[in-house]
Amino acid sequence: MRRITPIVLSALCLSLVACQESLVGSVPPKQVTIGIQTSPAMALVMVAQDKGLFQAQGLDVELKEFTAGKFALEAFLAGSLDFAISGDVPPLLAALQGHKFVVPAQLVGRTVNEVRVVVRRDDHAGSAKEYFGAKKRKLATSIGGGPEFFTYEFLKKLGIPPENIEIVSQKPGDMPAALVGGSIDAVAIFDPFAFIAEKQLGNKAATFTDDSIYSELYVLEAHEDSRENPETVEKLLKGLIAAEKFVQASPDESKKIVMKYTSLDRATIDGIWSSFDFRITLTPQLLEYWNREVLWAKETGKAAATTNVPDFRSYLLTDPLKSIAPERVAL
Amino acid sequence: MSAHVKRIGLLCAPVVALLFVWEIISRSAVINPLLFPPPSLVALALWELIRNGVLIVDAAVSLWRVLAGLSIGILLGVSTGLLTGRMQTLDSVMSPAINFLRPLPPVAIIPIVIVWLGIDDAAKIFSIALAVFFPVWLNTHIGAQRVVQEYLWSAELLTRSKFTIFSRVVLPAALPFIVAGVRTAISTAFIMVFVSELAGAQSGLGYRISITQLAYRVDQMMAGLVVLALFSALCDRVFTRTVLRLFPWLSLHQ
Amino acid sequence: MTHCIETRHLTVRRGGRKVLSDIHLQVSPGEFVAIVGKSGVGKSTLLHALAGHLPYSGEINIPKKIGMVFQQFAVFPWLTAKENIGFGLTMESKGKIELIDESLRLAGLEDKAQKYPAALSGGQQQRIAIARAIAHRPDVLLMDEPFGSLDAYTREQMQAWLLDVWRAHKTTVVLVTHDIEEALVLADRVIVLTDGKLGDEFDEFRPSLHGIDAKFSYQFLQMRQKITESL
Repeated sequence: MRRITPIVLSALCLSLVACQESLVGSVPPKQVTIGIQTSPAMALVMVAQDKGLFQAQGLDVELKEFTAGKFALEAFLAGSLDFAISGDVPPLLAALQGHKFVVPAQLVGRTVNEVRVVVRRDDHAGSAKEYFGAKKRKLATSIGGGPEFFTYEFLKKLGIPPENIEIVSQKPGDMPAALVGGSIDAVAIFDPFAFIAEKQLGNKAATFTDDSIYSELYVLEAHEDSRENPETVEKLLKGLIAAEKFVQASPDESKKIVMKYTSLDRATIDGIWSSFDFRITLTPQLLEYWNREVLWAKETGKAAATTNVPDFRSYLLTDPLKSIAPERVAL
Repeated sequence: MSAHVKRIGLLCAPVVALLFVWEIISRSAVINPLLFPPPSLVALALWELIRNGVLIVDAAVSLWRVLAGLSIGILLGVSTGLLTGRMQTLDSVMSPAINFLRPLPPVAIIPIVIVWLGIDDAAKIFSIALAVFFPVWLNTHIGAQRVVQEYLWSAELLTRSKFTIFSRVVLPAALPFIVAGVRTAISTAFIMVFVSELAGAQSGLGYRISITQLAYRVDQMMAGLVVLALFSALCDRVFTRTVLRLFPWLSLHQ
Repeated sequence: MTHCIETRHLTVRRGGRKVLSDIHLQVSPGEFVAIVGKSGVGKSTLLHALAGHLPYSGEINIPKKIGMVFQQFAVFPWLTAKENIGFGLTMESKGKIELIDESLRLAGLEDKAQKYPAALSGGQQQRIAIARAIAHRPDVLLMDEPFGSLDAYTREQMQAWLLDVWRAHKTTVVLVTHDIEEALVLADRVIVLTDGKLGDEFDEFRPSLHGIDAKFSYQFLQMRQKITESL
C-alpha cells in the first residue's frame, strides 16, 4: 500500500498535465459529415475535399455518397448526417411534410438542360409533341425528385394528357439499361444517366429538352441549430467558394478530380460539364421553383390539398453567406 | 368468459399492448414524429389510401405477381426436387449446379433480370419464381431422399407401377418437407415482390411504399408496409389451412 | 417335395463383414417357420436377402409374390386403413371393394376404415399391415419382428389373431423374432440363428396344434429351455 500510493499519485498528475496540454494546444479540426450524390454536379464539394480546402478552414469533412441527392437528404433528416446536398425538389417535399432544416446556399447558380428526356427513336420521333402524342408511352423517371417535376411540367406544356403516358419509378442507375432493352420508351433524368442513355442508344436516341421550364438547382441543407451557431456553415461555405475559384482557374484538373470520385470517363464529364454553372449563391429562382413545385406536389397527391404551405423564405439561412460575400445573396 | 373468447383475447393482447406503447412513444416525440408516426395516423393514412382506391389496385397487382411467381416456382421446385431426390443420375448432374446458384441472394440478381427481361410483370414474376424455386427445391429434394426405406419396400411388394410408387408413396412421404419449403417460399415471394417493384414499377405495394417514402409521407409508407406484412401472414395462414384440409393426416404426423 | 423357399450357400456381406454365412434354408409350402436369435445376429438381414433387398452370394429360390411386414413404419401414414389395405390392388372395382371389406373384417377394423394410422394403436396398425399383405394373396409372407414394438398384452392378442389368419389362408410364413415364446407359439418349426449361421431346429412341439394355452404346459417350458441354451 505504501509503495502503490506514490505511483498512483504520479500517474494521476501526469494524466492531468496531458489533458491540459491537449486543451491548451492546437484546436483539433471539427468533424463534419456531408451526404452527396455521386455526380459531377457535386464538383465543388469534390474539389474542396481533394484540395484540402475544407481542412484549411479547420474542418475535417467526411463525404458520404448516395446514388441520388434525395437519399442523402433522407439520411440527413434521420439525423445521421450533419449536412446534405440535393436537388431542389426533395427539400421542398420534406418541408411540406413539416420537416425542419435550413438552406444556406445553392451549389449552382443555374443548370442548363440538366434534366433531359431521352427517348428511343421510332417513326414518330419528330418533335416531343409528335412523339408523345403518337401513342401511349412508358417513361421512367426519378420519383420525388427534380426529374419528376420536370416531366410533369414538360408534358403539361406540350399538352399531353396523363392517359397517354405511363410513369414508371426507377432508380437512375437502372434507367439506361431498361431503355436500351426496350422495356421503357423514354427516361427523364439528370446527368450523368441521361448522357449514358444517349451514348448507349447511339443513333437510336432522341433527346428533348426545355430549359425554360425547369433546370434543377442543387442546394445545401443544414440542421436548424446552424441558426444559432453558424460558424461551421461559414467555414463550409468559405471552403466551397475557394473551390469555385479553383474550378474556374483550373477546369482540367477539376475534371480529373471529379473523374476520380465518380469513376466516369473523361468524355462523359466533358459532355456534361457545361450544364453546370458552379457558383455558391442564393437566387430568387430557388423560391420561384419551390412555389411552383407546391402546386405540382398537391396535384400529384404528394401533399394533401389541405397541407399548410410554409413561408419558404424562412427556410433560407442567408446570414452566413451574407457575412462572407453579400453580393452572392441575390434574393 | 368462454375458452374461445379467452383464447382470442390472449392472442390480441400483445398486439394491442404493442400498438399502445408505439402510440405513446410516437406522441411523446422521443423520436422525430415525422419519421415515426403513431399507429393512429398510420391507420388514418391506410383508410385514406383504401378509400381513394389506390391501395386496392396496388394490393391486387402485387398479390397477382406473388401468386404467379409462387405457382411457377413451386411447380418447378417440387418436380425438380422429387426427381433429383430419387434419381441418382439426375442428382449428380443437376444438384451441383443448383447448389452453386442457391446461395446467390435473389435480391442481387434483380439488376440482371432488368437487363434481360425489362421491368414488366414478366420480369417481376420471373424474379419471384427464381427466388422461390431454391427453398422449395431443397426441401423437396431432402424429403424425397429421406423417404423411409420400409415404405418403399412395402410399396414395391404391393405394386409394380413406378408411377403409383412415386405419386402415392414418395410424394406424400416428402409432403411435410415440401410444406416447410413452401412456407419459406411464401415469405421469400413477398420480399421479392417488394424489392422488384422498387426497381421499376408503376403500381404495387412495393411501388407505393417506395414513392410515399420519397414524398416524405412516412404514415402512408407504414400503412403500405402493414398491408404487405398482413398479406404475407394471410397467405401463409391460408396455405397451411388448405394443406391441412387436403391432407388431414399431416396434423397427426409428428 | 418341392420347397416353397430354398437357399443354398447363401452368404451376405455388409460393410465388409460377413453377416450371414452359408445359409441352407428350406421351407415347405404352407409351413410357418420362425427364426430366433439374439439382436444383431442377422435375422433381419436374412429376411431382407430373401426379399431381394440385399446383394448376396449363393442361391435363393423363392416365389415372386412376396408379402412383407415390418416392425416399424408398417403402414402408410397418409392413407386411411381402408386405403392402405387397398394399396396396389389391381382387380376390377367390385372385387376390390369386397376384398377390402373382407380384409377389414379380418383385421377387426370395419368401424375404423376411414381412420388414419396415427389415430390407431400400434396393434391396430400392424393388423392393417398384415391384412394388407394378405390381401394380395402372396405365396410367401415375410415378417420382421412384427410385434416387437407392442406391449406384452397386445402382443399376445396379435399372436392369437395371426394364428387365426394363417390357419384361414395357409400362406407360407417366415417370421423372425428374438422372443422365443412367440416363436414357439406361432411356428411349426423354430430355427435358431447364431453368428450368421443357422443352428438347431425344433419342431417336436407345436403349440399351434394345441392352442394358445399350451404355453403353460411342461413341454412348452422344456422347449423354451432347450432353445435358450441353443442360443
